[in-house]
Amino acid sequence: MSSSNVMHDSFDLPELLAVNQLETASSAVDIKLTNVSIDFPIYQASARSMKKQLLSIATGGQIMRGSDDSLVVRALSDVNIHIGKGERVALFGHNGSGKSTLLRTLAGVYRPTSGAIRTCGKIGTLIDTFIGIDLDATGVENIIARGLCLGMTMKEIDSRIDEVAEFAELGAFLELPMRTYSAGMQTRLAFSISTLIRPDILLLDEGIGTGDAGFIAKAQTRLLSFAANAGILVFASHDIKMARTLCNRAIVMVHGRVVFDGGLTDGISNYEMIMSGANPPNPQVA
Amino acid sequence: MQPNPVVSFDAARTGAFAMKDLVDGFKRRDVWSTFAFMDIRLKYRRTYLGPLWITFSTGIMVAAFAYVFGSIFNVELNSYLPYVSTGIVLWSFISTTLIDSCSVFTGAVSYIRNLSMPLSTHLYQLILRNLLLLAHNAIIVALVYIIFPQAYSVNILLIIPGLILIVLNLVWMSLFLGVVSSRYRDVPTAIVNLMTVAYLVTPIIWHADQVSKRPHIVDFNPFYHLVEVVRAPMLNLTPTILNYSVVVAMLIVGSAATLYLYKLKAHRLSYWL
Repeated sequence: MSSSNVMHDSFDLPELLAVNQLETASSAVDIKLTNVSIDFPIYQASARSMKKQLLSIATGGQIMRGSDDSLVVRALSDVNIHIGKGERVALFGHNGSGKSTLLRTLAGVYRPTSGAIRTCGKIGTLIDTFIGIDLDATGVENIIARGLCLGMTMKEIDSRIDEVAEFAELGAFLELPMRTYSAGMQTRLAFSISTLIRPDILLLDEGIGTGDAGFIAKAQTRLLSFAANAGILVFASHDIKMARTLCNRAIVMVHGRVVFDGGLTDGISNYEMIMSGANPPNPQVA
Repeated sequence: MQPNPVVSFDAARTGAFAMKDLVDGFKRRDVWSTFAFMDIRLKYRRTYLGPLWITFSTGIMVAAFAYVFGSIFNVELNSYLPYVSTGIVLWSFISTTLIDSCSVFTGAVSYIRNLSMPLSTHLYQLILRNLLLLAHNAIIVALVYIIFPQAYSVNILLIIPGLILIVLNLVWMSLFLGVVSSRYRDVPTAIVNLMTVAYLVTPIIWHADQVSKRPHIVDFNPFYHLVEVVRAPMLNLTPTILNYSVVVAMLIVGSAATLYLYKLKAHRLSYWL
């Protein structure tokens, strides 16, 4: 288990412990979602015209009335998932089906509107590899900034900065502002930094760019070993081929609901059926 | 082997989230300190003066005041310049922090939506960044005091508790404004306007004792008391009991109200961005 638990320094606020939000539990790696729903409130414009507009969009969550009669989009609807150590989950669904929202919910970005979530283990999120990167800063500065964003400590970053430099094949460019890099070099560095983390739970969004052709094979190998080392992998994807290499379980989502949860092979055929247009449920308006 | 961190959230029991966020965010000191320093370094990258621009800009302003008041209004600079330079530097610390604080969360939206990082790290980064700006500006005040030597006494030590009081007050104000601005997007613009007006009605460029009938606007102005707890000791005076009472009362009431607000709404904040 990683000895670097920056998220958890056993802080003894009696209040926190009383409500049981911070536990000093086991070394288990585990995710549990119980009846989780996520409603996005809509504040702009008139709710009525907004409603009409959204109705014309076939994909996306369900549009409904919130408790105070405001308009909300239900991005996740009554999701129950339990993921244990060693499971690598492929998250399938069309655009707007709630894949990314689910990933962000697992990351702790969105707290459930109703229901409960509990994750055990250090979480690493690779949703956007460029967050924390400033093109005016040098490569080295960006490695530090991005590493901190990923939850690493300064010490951990220092000890592995050479590894990143070597992997990204940037040489002396690391001392130059990232603005001077080619697009491929930028992506390479962003990707290399991102694979520094050693999380227990890895949340991976598709489209993690990997730069020029020569780098792709190397990056894929890295990604595979990286993902294989995580206790739990959740991979949001359209990419069936990639999912086959990485995953051993599939969850298929339609309009914020889990419509399939089971083996990878069955999950893929289920997803392909949905994508081929076979009977996708319409968004409901309550 | 260390136990793994557990994060749990139950929509039916949201209360503890806010406190945990404030504590966890503070513990990520390496994150907010690195980013605060980087904010300043990057802003002035490729300029010749670098962060000295901060100092230089304030210097120009103070020099302009010295010229206008010294040669046009014939104010005695030996006492006026220390007063106005201290006031301007403190004021820009307070007003820049408050104006920045309106975008402390909305400006960090890509971080908040894509990383598992406590929300409050952005608040601490904001406070530290503005403290660094204050340190750059303090150079001008120091220069003024070298050019126009003042009498000193133990009063000077009161600067320390004064600064602490200002910073703690700015912490709750920033958190409050950050949360409210995320939900109501009119607030940032309103604050910019408020700070412009407050700059004029607060005794910064004018002296409270200059006006024959001391206007209510002075004693009822919280910013006046906030500035006074540091400015008075800088001018070899003691802040009044009223100054301290107002500032401490603001701190207690404001912090309590802000904590209450944060406890109610922190878990909803990312939905508003």
